[in-house]
Amino acid sequence: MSYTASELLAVSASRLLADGKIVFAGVGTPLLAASLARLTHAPHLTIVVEGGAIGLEAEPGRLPISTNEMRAGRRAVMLPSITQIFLYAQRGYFDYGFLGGAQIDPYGNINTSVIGPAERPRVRLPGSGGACDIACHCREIVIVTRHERRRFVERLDFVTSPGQVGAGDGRRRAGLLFGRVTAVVTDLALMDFDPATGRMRVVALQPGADLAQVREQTGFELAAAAEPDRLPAPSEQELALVRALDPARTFLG
Amino acid sequence: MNKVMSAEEVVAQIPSGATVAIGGSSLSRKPMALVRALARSDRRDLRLIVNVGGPEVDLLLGTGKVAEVIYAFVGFEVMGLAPHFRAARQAGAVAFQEWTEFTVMAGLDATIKRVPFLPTHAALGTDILRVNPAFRTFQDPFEGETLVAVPALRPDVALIHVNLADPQGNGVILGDGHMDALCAKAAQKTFLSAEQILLPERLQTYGRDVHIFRTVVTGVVEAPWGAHFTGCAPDYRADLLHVQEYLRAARDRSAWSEYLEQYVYVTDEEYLRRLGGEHTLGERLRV
Repeated sequence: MSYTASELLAVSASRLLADGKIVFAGVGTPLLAASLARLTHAPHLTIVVEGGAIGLEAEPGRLPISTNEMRAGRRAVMLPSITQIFLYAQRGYFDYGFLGGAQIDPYGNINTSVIGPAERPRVRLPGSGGACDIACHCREIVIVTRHERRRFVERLDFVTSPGQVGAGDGRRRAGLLFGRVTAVVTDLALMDFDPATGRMRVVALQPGADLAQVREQTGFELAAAAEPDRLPAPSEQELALVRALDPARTFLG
Repeated sequence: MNKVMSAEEVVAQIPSGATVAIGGSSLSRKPMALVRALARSDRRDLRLIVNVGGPEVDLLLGTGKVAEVIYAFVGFEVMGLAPHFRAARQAGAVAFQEWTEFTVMAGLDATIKRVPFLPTHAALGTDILRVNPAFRTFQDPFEGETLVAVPALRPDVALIHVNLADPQGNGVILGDGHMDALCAKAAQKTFLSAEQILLPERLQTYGRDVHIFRTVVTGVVEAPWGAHFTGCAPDYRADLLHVQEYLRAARDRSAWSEYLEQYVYVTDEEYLRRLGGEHTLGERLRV
């Protein structure tokens, strides 16, 4: 069964979401993954989007293009404002925060601000948005992104959102009360963080990917078991559901 | 008290150099009719405060109105990056302060509470603290933990688009509230544009949806389709075809001057005519 990298990302990310938890999701792959999880193994997953909807149920074929769009509120349990959403986050109610990023470092810190020096960047990206707030206040942060060498860099041009911050107890030293990056999902591998060094390491490989390829597409040293686990390929059911969620392929590309 | 006025009368109360908070978020409920009026004016050196900015920031940058932008995000989400924002940022001609969504709201909240700052954990461990001299860290006087002090944001003016208003300035928001109520309360002067102005006794039937209190409002403009080409739920969706047209124009100098002639340097009535008229828009952008 063939599938695209974006379909693989959405399916792999959905499997990381446990039933009964609360996920703070952005539009695009995160909302696809969370919606897919609800349709498969996690029917009691609560989806929150920052525009102000809690417990929404996205309609297949009519996913919102923005968290600030009314479609994001379909069948929501409640529609408080963005101000309330971030208060709930700070209180520590949200289990997962889903983030992507232009650059990611070995500690899971994320750059969505600038490429080049901050004072005079080569490329100005859109900025933090709510990403920094999500990274600071969710219990488990999951990073979902394409695996590319220019993305996975030893040093960020700018730290927009904190991951583990640095080695060991980096987040606590920085003053953050809780939360950690639990997973980085790419089209090549699933990664987590070595508790001793704080650095990213390979847990398992996507179907068809090998370790040499993962390292080739990573700009920093990446630890891995000699024989990493293999992630199961997306099932026919998962692929059919994710395609039905986005038939126009607005997010799947 | 009747506060109904024209968009030009709103602009007359916004001097060059003013700090202007703009409501809405991303492609949702931006006060575009008021922003276009500002873009037509000779104002300069505005300081903008936005949470998730998009077309409004890009248009004001593209017409040379802006000296500084305080923002959490400026872009067109899945539609792409904001061309004038990107160009201005890379050229270094305009000052930019990157905040985060929560801290922008906390800064406005501090002004409303009349305190100089509000504490948070957000942004600890990031470069946002390093490049942004506005933020300081401090020790909690009780337990000694390190916190970020988010300084008060004090807008001179707030511009907000609502679904319905009455002539006294009460404002009904039927879709997402975004941070509009914070902008309205924090600003020295708040101006609303509304899809429709109703008599007060009609507006009172919307009690729970009145999010803007007349006491904080200086002026109200009736502006049907006043958020276009962003959306105004449940009245209409964002006009993604026009977003594409805007983005194509904003990436090219000569196309940009044509765009301004076509859609900005015209009255609101003419703007709607050039988009095919209200009926066509209504059919195409039904929620």
